[in-house]
Amino acid sequence: MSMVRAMIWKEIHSFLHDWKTLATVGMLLLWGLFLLILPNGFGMDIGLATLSMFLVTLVSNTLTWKSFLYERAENALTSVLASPISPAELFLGKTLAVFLFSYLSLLVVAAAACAVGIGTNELPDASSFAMALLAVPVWGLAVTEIMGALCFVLGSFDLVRWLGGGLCLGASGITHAIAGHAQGVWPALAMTAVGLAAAVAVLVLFSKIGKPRLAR
Amino acid sequence: MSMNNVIEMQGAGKTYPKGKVALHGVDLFVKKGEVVGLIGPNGAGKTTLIKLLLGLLDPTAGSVGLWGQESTKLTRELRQRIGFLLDQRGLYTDLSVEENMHFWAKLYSVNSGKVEASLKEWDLWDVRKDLVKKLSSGMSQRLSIARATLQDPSLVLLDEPTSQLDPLVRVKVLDLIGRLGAKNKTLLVTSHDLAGMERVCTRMILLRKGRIVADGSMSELARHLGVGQQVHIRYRGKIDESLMAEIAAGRNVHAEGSNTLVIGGDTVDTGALVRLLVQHGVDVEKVEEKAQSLEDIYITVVKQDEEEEE
Repeated sequence: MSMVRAMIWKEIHSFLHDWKTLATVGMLLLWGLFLLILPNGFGMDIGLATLSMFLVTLVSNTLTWKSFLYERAENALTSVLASPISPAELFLGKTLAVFLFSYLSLLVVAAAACAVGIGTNELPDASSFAMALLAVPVWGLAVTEIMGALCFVLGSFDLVRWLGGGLCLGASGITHAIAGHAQGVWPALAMTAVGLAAAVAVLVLFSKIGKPRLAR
Repeated sequence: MSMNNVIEMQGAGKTYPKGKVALHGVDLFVKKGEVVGLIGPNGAGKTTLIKLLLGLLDPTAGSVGLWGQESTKLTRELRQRIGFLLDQRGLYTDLSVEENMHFWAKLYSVNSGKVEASLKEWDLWDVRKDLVKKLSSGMSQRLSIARATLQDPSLVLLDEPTSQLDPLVRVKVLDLIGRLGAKNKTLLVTSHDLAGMERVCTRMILLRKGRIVADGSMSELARHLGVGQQVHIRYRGKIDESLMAEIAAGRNVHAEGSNTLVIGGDTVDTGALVRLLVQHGVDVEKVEEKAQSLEDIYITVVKQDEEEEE
């Protein structure tokens, strides 16, 4: 795990140094906050789980580009592939860094909103909480992995951006559909299990790719 | 594969997907403690060879191994023993100097105290908080070299380590290569800095159009290429055609000015040449023997390449 930790450390430092990335993430989160605090989100009944999923996957999309494609463009990927890190560790480190940064940013904004007493007049039900705290992180991780893998395989920013946008909307749509009809925590647990299976499958598939192919 | 060699390439070839052949059946064996200089014109295949050794490319023919293991399947422990510098430095430009080094230290399980020592050794301590994108080319190159040698590797692969360096730092890099060689480390260095390579390498390899055309010590390289020795003879008098034919037998001879002969060849017996001239009544004024430098050899070979292409 030391290699994965090293990669997470590097990625987080890289995000923190780039004001453009920080500004983009900040804007996205503020936008989400507005949707949360304005009465019924401009008339849309979005719900906590859907909004969390949308924001986490959207922020991940932005950071995935920064993490995966920028490294290739800078020719840093070739060097890191020649180091002792394995493709699976490299991939997991990157996706975890992207995901942790996205989800922790969201939690910070949510905590700030609660601290100033906005959006707390009506507490979400147990199902929404389970969705936001379990399904959203796991799906966020799976979506980040898929986008990261696409970045490696396709190597094209435009294509990845559009596919990432589609994944983000798709994940949010599924969350909205399930959260709208969910009773209790079981739908959230089922969603979490599906997300976890997807995340593991992508990681296993990625670990089969050899360094020469990734270095191309 | 044998464990006696650190580097072992057998019939290694690389053809890129678009059909460009970068290496043709290269056989290269490097033993522990050798300092090997890899020279050749641009496009000769030097960088491809380094990338094959690092496992960044799959050979399309033959095998490439390090310490008896295929280079694309090296264990983590063996990878930790390799220090390398690629032609594209591969630094993270959005991280600081110090952060780049700390990241590398984490990947190679090196303690942070070594990072400080290395940054100080390469005069980068004062700029450790600066982002790499703000460094000059020379400073970035120094950082890459510091990074390549951070974990005290036993095999060092350096692609153009002295490019973009000022003369003082260039000497420092050459000294480092010499020191690593003295510590029985194995080094493979590509460079266009031929004078520098001549100083620090124990063995030279000349790569042309993806093939090794000469391999050995400097003198062996020169002998192999037939550009070993030159004798400059300044004379007074006349050299007729028959005498000139006798001098030129088995040697490269050309006139320099009206009264100097330049005689080159594998080995030139200067004494015999002088005796021959004196016997024919030619007054020999000055004799100068010159061993050809690596640069002379290199230029000769590149010229041959150009002539073949024309």
